[in-house]
Amino acid sequence: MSLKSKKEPQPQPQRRVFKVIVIGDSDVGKTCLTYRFCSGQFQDKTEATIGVDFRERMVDVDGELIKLQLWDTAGQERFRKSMVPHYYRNYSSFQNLPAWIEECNKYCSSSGGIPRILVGNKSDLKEKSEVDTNTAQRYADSHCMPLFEASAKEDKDFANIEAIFLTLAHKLKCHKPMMSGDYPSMKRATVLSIDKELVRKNSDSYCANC
Amino acid sequence: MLATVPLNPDTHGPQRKSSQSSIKHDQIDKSPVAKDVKAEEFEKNNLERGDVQSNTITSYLAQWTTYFQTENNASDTLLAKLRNKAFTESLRSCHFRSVCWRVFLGCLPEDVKQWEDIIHKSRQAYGKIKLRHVTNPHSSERDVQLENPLSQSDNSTWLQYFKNNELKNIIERDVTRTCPEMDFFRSPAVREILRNVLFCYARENDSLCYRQGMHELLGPLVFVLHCDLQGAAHAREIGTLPDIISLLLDEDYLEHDAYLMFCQVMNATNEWYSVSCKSKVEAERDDGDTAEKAAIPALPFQPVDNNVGSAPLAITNKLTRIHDKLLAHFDLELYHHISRLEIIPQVYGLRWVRLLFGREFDLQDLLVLWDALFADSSSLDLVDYIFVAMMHNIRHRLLAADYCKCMQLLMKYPPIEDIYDLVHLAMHYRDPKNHPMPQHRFRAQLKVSTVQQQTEEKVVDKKNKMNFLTNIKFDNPFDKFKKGIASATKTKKSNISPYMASERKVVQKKEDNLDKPNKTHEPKYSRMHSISGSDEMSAQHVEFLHQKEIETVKKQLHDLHDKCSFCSEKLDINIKVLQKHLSVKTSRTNSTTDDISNAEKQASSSTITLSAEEDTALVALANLKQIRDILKGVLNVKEHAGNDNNLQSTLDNFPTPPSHTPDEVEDNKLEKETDTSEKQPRKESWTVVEDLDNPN
Repeated sequence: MSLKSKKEPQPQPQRRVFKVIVIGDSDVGKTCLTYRFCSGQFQDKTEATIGVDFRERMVDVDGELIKLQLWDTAGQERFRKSMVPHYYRNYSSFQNLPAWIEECNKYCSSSGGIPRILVGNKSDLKEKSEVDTNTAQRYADSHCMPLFEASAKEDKDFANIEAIFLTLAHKLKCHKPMMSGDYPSMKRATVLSIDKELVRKNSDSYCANC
Repeated sequence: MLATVPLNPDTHGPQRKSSQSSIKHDQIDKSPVAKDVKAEEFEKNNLERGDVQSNTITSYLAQWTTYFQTENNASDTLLAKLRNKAFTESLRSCHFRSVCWRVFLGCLPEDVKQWEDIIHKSRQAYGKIKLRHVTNPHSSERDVQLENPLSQSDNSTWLQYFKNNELKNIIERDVTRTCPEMDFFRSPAVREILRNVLFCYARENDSLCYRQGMHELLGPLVFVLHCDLQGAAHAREIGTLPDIISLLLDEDYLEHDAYLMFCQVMNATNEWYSVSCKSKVEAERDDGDTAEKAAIPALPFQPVDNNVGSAPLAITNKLTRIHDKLLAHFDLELYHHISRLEIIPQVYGLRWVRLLFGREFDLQDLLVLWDALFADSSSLDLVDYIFVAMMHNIRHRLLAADYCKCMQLLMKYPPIEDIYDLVHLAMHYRDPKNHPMPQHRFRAQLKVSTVQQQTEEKVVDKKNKMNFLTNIKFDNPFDKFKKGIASATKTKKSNISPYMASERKVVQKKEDNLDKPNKTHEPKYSRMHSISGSDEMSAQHVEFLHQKEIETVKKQLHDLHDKCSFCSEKLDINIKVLQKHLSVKTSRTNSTTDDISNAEKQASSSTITLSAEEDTALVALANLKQIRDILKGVLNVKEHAGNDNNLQSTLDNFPTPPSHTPDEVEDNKLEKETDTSEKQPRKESWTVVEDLDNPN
């Protein structure tokens, strides 16, 4: 996939495409978050994502117009099929973060260099929050991820949502291309995960440079 | 939550009944207000309208008889009959759609007499399953030593209890998100049914467990059952129902019946949900690592990991096969386009297939699609062909689109004009012998082929004129004509009946014209024929197809011939009128009606003596006569090749004669449009394609 944008016939001004992959537990608000960012709207009635969804938006990063491709994944898609038999504690999406990060690392050969951002979604449900900000911040720090707390639902929080993806775009832009064997295009990722109420999201991004 | 559910439907009948009736209340209360439940309302109205119109129970029962009473007790009659009904589009108005589906899916045998027995058994079985899995450790009087909540022994009731809770959480998250725009699925009673069925299925199939998407397979099943129940309830109010209907459509057993149907659907689809490429036994022991790796190819950002060693998943295999084999087979051009863009079918197709296209169409259309899908075979083989038909349906837009546009189209399938069209195309792909290519699809293809025609034809084809005329007068038979010709292969020319010697040449000419634009599609069809060795399409099928096409072409030619005769007669009458008029005006009398047959000579002789204006008019008249004769078939275009220049130049510079009668005007139009007739249909098609390309 990462090669694709290379091969695509590009319009004269070589427009770069950054791919952001949003991962995290089921029902933490990945779809709402990306939908909010791309359309400005809050989707009240979302259905469970099956497989993957695709959205995009142009962003201006330091004067360069960059296309952000958001890949909105299904929470259950590739995650611990064996979870049910093996765990009998009610894991929160925050507690599942290590598994998501591991997953991310597993499939990103250059994962060390892939920018990630941790997002705590549904911040409008602060009182029901299961994870306090300090804990989340500590965790994010330990994995070198910036932490954002946001609500895809609240209109006033829209700027915050934008900040998440713009930060990511900025990080991607400044990121040095990882030259890896067959793939001269750079690959980068960012991870998101979430908690039930205070949602942590790992966004996982690739960027194919062209 | 499940623990509060009545465990035994028999003892808790009244309770369940009340929960069922709450569904109805929900609907009645909400549906008139809610604007986004169109689909549901539609179904409801459908049901009610049907009942009000008939106003008697007889029509309800009559429908039952039509569907389920087999005449001569032949063993395969019922299934065949229902299948036929499903394919001929009549299940939409059927009050027993759920019953038909149960027959298709194998929940009910073909012999109606056995139904009662089978229904009892299957409902009992579900009751037991439910009882088995809904265990509450609190209520169980067991040895605390053995049943310690902290025990991690696999046999611990507590462990199972915790596992179940986790599973219920997962299911609950999706159940609350099932078709959120429909009130029906927001009703607590319906959610309870979904929850229970999914939970029981997951527990019964531990290796697969619950996977996202299953809930949306169950949803429509429950909906269809519910609709039939409403129909039955309504009928019951105005009359008595036979026992078998009451038994089949029993509110108390909606959940039981839904479970059985769901299991049958899952039998066909479970491997598409599987995240393990191993056998079930192995998968159970597996720690999930392999499965995770194997699941990866389904992801969009997956670069190279296909070679991690584990075999790809069943769903990946299936989608790849559909893409590489079927799509390439039926639409090579589109296949190359999508492949070039490196859009892997998993990205969009995973959802298409897993949900049996549930998200791509609105519910009403989906039910029609499922009618065909289930009727076709309980292994749901039609899925592959529907997949290809869907791709083909938006091929023009896809072909014109770049990566992003393609992705958007595929991820959010555009609204479909006519679901039957898609179903029929899929049926045609699957079985061309018994299902002809849907008509207007063919036409659409041809329109586009015409667009691709680049060369300007200089030869004036009389047929074009005629086509143009008929275009105006007879509801656009041009396309039909083209369709017939284009679908005929060269060999068929010899089969064209010899009665139209002159026609044939013209038609051949036309065909040559059409051959060019068709080049782009040639690979597709020739491939389709050449692959006859494959199991999908045997040589016999192709032969059969040819025969049918030949017949169609013959019929088209007959029509054409009739039209030609009609036109020539009409032309003849008008020429006479025109001629009479001219002859009155002209001082000379050498252009009498006797000379009509030798128009040429007449025209040339008159040039000497007539004034310039009269001369032109007469030459034009003469040309009209020529056209008439060609239409009649007594004059050959080729024979006139020598005069063609003359004729053509005359036609090109033909001055507008004074119009006298409406018919004459038409004739003039005919003349004038001769040289533009080549361009105009093309222009038309351009707009079609532009529309397709720019839906906005």
